[in-house]
Amino acid sequence: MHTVVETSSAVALELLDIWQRVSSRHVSLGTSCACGSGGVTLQLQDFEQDIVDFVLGQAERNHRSDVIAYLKDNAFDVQSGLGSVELLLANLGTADDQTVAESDIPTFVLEKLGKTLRSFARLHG
Amino acid sequence: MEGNLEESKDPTVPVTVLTGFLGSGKTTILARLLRDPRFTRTAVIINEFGEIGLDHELLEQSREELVLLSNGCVCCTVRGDLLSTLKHIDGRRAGFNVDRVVIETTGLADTAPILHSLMADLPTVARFRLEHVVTVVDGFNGLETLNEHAVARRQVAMADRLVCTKLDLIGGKAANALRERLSALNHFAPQHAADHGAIDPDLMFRVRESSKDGTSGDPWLEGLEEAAHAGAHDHDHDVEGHKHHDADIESYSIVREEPISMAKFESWLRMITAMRGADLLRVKGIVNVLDHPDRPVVIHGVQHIFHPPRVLDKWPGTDRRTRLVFITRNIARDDIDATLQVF
Repeated sequence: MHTVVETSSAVALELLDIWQRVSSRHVSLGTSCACGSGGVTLQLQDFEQDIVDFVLGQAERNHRSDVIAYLKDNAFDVQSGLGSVELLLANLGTADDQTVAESDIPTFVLEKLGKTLRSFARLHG
Repeated sequence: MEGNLEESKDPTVPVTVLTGFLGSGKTTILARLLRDPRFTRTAVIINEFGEIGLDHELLEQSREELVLLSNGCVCCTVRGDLLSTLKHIDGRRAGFNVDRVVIETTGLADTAPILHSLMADLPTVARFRLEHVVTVVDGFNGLETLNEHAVARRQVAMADRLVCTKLDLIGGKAANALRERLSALNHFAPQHAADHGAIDPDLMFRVRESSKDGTSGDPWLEGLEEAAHAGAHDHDHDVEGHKHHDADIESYSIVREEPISMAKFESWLRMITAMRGADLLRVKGIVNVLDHPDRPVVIHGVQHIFHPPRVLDKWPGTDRRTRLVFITRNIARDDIDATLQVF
């Protein structure tokens, strides 16, 4: 079990690194084109709430009340109430709560989140 | 039937882009088509590479509505010319009695800028609609050309329909190899053969009556439906169509069973377009929208340019799933799928 906890923690930190690298990077829509669609700038961070909602939705779809409870406690900024990928991954990375760490909650969350973040990172290039 | 292939209540004029690499036989096909009485009301715009146009000399008839753009290979700079030419045709449409436009590109043209013009310029969108992209492929030199020229691969990838010429010069084995290669580059475009430039115009230009909404009758979306039914397997409540690839270019489909929030879908589209617009060679689809599930939305994009989404009054058939078709360069299907799931 100790190895699983360490592995989940390592994956969480790896994903946190990906998120920090990719999320604030700006991408521009057609700035070098004469078609007139330029000037729109986006960053993945703009969709952070959507990403957290997606993981929450996956937990709901799979009737994982334990994951839902964990996400509500660990994936939302207390003050703003907004979803935070960074907070979620940091919490999973530190694995403070031994009961959670030894459950399959981190595996569930990291699998869903990992696929998404790695895909975004690949698309970003 | 006198005039063009069909009468349409749609006030916009259908535009077919005829492309293909140098020497593929575009002009021969066009010249034959223009002899067909059903094409008497067709305006032809020819773009040629270099200052002196040659291709138009090969068209046997001199037609008042034949317009030559001779200011070089089609690129962003030509777009203004193309748009002003279309505006000119529109202004004199009644006099020309035009009900169809064919744009023949130079053999070295990247089709994308032409499609961008037809999809993004709002005055043009209001008067003209991109109906088909037909790519002509030289059966004799096609495989070699595809191996050596990225622009030829992109021309095939962006096509709605493919026409192979000079197949009489090669054997069945070589023809099959070419067909397989074309299918790998663009699984969704049906392939036809032209016999010394002759081809049934219906195969290239006809849109069935039921498809005036731009959905059913679209070979890409029909191909997607077949793929989904034939080889699909459940994938987290979604259906995955077949995937085909040719080195860097892949064609694949994504099907969603559940309705999608249009606002979120557009957010995803903006994000993906901003990240990798240049590599989204073509995207087409019909979307089941959460807010109005009885009225689907048709999307159509070329690289970073998307035609304004069209809301249909009703579904064209019984299949009410969101169906998206992608032809991409160096973008894996899994990455499109995984990121779309978020939204």
